[in-house]
Amino acid sequence: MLLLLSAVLVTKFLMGPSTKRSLEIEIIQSSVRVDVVGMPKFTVQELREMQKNAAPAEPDAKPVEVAKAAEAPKEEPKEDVIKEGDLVIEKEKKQADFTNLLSSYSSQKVKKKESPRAARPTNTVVSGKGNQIIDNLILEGNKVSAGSALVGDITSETSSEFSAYVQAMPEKVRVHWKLPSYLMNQNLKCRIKVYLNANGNLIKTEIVESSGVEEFDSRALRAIKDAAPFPAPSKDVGTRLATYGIILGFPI
Amino acid sequence: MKYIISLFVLIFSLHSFSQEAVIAVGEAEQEKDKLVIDSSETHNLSNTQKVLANELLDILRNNFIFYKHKFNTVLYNKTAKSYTTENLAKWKEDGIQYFVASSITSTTQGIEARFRLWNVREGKVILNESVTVSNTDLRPKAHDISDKLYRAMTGKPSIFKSKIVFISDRTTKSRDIEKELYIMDFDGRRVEKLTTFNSIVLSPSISPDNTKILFSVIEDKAALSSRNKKKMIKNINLKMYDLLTKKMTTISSKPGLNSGATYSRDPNIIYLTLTQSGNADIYEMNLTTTRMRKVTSHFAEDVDPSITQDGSMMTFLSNRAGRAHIYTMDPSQTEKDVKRISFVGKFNATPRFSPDGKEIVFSSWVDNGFDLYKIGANGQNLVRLTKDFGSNEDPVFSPDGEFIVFTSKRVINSRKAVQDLYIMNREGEVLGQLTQNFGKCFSPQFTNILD
Repeated sequence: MLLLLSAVLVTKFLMGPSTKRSLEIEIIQSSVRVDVVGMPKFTVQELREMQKNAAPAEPDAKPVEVAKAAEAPKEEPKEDVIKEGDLVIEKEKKQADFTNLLSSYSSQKVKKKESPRAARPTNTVVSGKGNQIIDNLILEGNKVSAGSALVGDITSETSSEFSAYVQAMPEKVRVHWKLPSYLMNQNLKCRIKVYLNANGNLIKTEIVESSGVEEFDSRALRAIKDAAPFPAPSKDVGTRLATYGIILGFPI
Repeated sequence: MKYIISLFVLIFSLHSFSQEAVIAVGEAEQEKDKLVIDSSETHNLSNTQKVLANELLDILRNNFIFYKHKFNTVLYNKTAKSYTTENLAKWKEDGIQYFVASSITSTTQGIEARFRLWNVREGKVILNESVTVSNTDLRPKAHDISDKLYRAMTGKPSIFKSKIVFISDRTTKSRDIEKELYIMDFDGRRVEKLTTFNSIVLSPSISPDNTKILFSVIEDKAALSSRNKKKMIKNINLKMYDLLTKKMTTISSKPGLNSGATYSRDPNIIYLTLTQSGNADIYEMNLTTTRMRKVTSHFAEDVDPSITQDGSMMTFLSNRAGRAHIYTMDPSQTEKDVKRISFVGKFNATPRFSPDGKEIVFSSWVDNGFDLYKIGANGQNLVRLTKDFGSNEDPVFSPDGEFIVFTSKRVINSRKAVQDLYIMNREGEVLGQLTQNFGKCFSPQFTNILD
């Protein structure tokens, strides 16, 4: 019996992510809340123009191997991306009341405060000059992000670094993510696993959940290819991305 | 034992493998559809009829330029007879998504235009429409056919049949400023004057069925002085103009301000600002019973209500935080779920909901003038829409949510300034000027889409 069970599990495991298994998926979006300190200086049009002119990070893209959509679990049941019971942490700056503020000042030892900018993901991983400009603009208050959910056990330095890196990826991909009108508002969704090498070049892409519409999937794949190469990750992050990859959701 | 160990390894691997993170890329940007409105096939037209036929096509092409964020409208002269002979393969090769072919014949009154709209990708005709046009009804007929074409391509209504009600001071002749009410097509053509108060008209609002307009007007009102003598004072009264019967009715003339009225989804229910208690508050009024209900009740000034189409949320301006800021609330009860939306800006003004209720567009004082901004109804995603484009105020969404019409003021010299209506898309790309040499224009409001 044990042997039989083991054999089933081995078979399932060898079939890998393209089998009809249910993915437990967590959505990761920006984890940093940006407080607006003034009215935005730049218009939407200006920001768009800047984003268009953002310098590419590295020029030496390599050929990409694309796994066929047919391997993907097309009939996989749709699941809520954030399940009940998932840990959702919203990073918001806690407002201290005046009394606590005074007492904290009186008892405070002088210690070096870690710069919040150092923890910002995009500053550490986005190397394109244009992206850096946009990043700074957003800091100045052109956008209030949701302060959204970072889920799970990402606590170690490597995990934070990994999280920061992958959170910056949509910024690059979104510029190239375009659909013709007949594919808009169709409630289509596909998810593509992306493997990167140490230079940030694509190793391969793999459709883990197809939208069921070939054109939609190929547009998503094209957006990834056009966005590549990505900034060179650190050694640890690079190893993880080359080995396990990261899933990009179109749109979620 | 070996199998048990391998089983544990496999279970662990499967667990870690199944817990994968997904990075959301977000919604895609829509590519523009290439649209051809081809030259017509004409049959035995006189010179006058040829001019009419050309004007008809020009209006169609011009209309679709408003939606240039959706359509790339191109001229296409590769075939002279596209109505009778389609060339789908060629059109497809040229990257055309939609092709409008037409045939025009002579009638006693003018012309008969037959249109055929092709969805080139699908290789089928998605609209066949015929219309008779004369010189007197050219523009409304052209807007009507434009709307049908747009609906066939997008499945949604357009603004082509919408009208804009606005205020202009163009009849001012002396030092006493006169502001009257006007109505025009969405593209700034066919302007019609609606009122002659020889006074100042303010803040129009159009009923859900487009038959009535609420507005305020400054009128003289008899009052008693401190010595019990009769005197005339100025009062801002609320009026209603019936577009069908051309009749005017006074709705509210309580002492002080009776203004900023806006219709709700129910044509009998309006929201307006009254100062009868000495403080500006927003009230709900039943037009049939004239019963009033307080919606805001605060010692600060609450003005300028705007209601979502479903009536579930109201946005308004209040100085309850010290400066003029934008708030939202549930208007069904007094002070229910009041939420501050804006936290920055020296002076924010005229918050207006998008038709879907998801966004609020408003103006805010920056440096030496007003500029337009947009913010989510939940207070997030504040973005700037205008800059270095004069002083911009009074923004309002079009009923399809795709455009924003606003006033823009340019100072010519210390004595003269012009203020006209402009139209931009919802992302802040200015598409054009709607009024010109028409005095200073204020408070644009769109009519509603009825079908």
